[in-house]
Amino acid sequence: MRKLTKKTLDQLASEMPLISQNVQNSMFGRAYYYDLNDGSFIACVGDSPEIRLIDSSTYPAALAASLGGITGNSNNLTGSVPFKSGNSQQRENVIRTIATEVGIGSSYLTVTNLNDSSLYGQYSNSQDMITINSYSKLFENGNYNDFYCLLKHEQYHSNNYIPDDSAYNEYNAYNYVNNEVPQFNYASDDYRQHSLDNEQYFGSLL
Amino acid sequence: MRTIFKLYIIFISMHIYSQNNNDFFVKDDFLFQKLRTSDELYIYDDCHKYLMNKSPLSYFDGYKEMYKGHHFPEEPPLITAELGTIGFIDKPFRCIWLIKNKQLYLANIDFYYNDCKKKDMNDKYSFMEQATGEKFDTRYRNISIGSKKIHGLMPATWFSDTLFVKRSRSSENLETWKKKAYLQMVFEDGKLIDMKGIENKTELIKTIDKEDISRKITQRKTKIISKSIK
Repeated sequence: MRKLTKKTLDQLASEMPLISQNVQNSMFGRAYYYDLNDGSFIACVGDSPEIRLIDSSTYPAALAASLGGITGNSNNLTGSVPFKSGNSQQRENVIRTIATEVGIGSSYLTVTNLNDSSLYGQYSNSQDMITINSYSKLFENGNYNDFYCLLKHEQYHSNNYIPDDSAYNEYNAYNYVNNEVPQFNYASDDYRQHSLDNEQYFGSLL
Repeated sequence: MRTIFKLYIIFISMHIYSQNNNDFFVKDDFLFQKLRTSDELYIYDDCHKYLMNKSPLSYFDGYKEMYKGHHFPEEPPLITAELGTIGFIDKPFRCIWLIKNKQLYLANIDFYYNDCKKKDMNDKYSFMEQATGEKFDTRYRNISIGSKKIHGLMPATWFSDTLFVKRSRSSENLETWKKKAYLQMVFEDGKLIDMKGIENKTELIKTIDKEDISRKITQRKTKIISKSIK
């Protein structure tokens, strides 16, 4: 019997078939895939910012089936569901995974329903806590880049807080995300407009 | 030759149009000039939230710091929301006001989510009663205003002034909302005695000059540093 050994990424890369960017962009099931069970990141397929949830144990088979054209009548991998269809725990798990990618520790983040769909999140300096509103429109859209930008915005507050000057804090955070966070260029039109409008608004208050 | 000239004119027009879109934005009177509190106003039998130019508590000196020095949060959180949906965050708490039968009432006091989670703040109402000299009538707790719970009704008898209020933005886009009119409400001893619609003046202005903003930010930093040295 052949002994199983761990392979380095370089070894794997040399043995596995390569898929060009063009093929990835035109393939079925384009999305950011996260595990239904714990929210861990599985893979990013193609160029879509949509977040989808799938059981990580079934992901390889679903991907193989889509590459073979078995699921050719659908844009989504078999067994995956859109972010908005996940339950609150599953969606929170995904947000926490993206927050970790952004560099926000789990103990500094709360995901909860703030009962207002136009409110995306908030940062409390006194509690040193970022809150993401699970009732916001962003959860309906499930766009990876929107969440990334929002978390970067709140993280900026956490790292650069100035007391008693909300216009100053907000202008700087929007200006930072709009100009220095690459994901902003791929955020949804609504999020980009929101962020640009707010930069203008708070800038005019300075 | 004439065709080339026409094409040139079309090209120039398109260039100017695209410049307009990129370099200008609509500034309106209510959002940019008047709105200076996160307090919210509701009108009985109308579930919509109205944004306000100032808090009726502004009659009392130091009202923004009325909870300071006790166990209440002393600074508000920074809130990320769509423009026109919430007011300007001006203090650590937000008051919910109600107009019922032409009388202005304070109906609730709301500290923001993270700040109120870990603390028992039921005495925020008695602090307010001491500050205003009025009492909450808690028989009205079952009144529903929008999605807000109310604690009771405290008549704002101290308030003889003018408020400018505007229905908050819901599903319409920001530019459409900016152009909508707002209301001027005149109160005497907390009673609404006059109300009229005001056209919300808008102007197309050049987008902010980043160099100018940088200068202002540097000035602010200097102020903050000199404050902390004092």
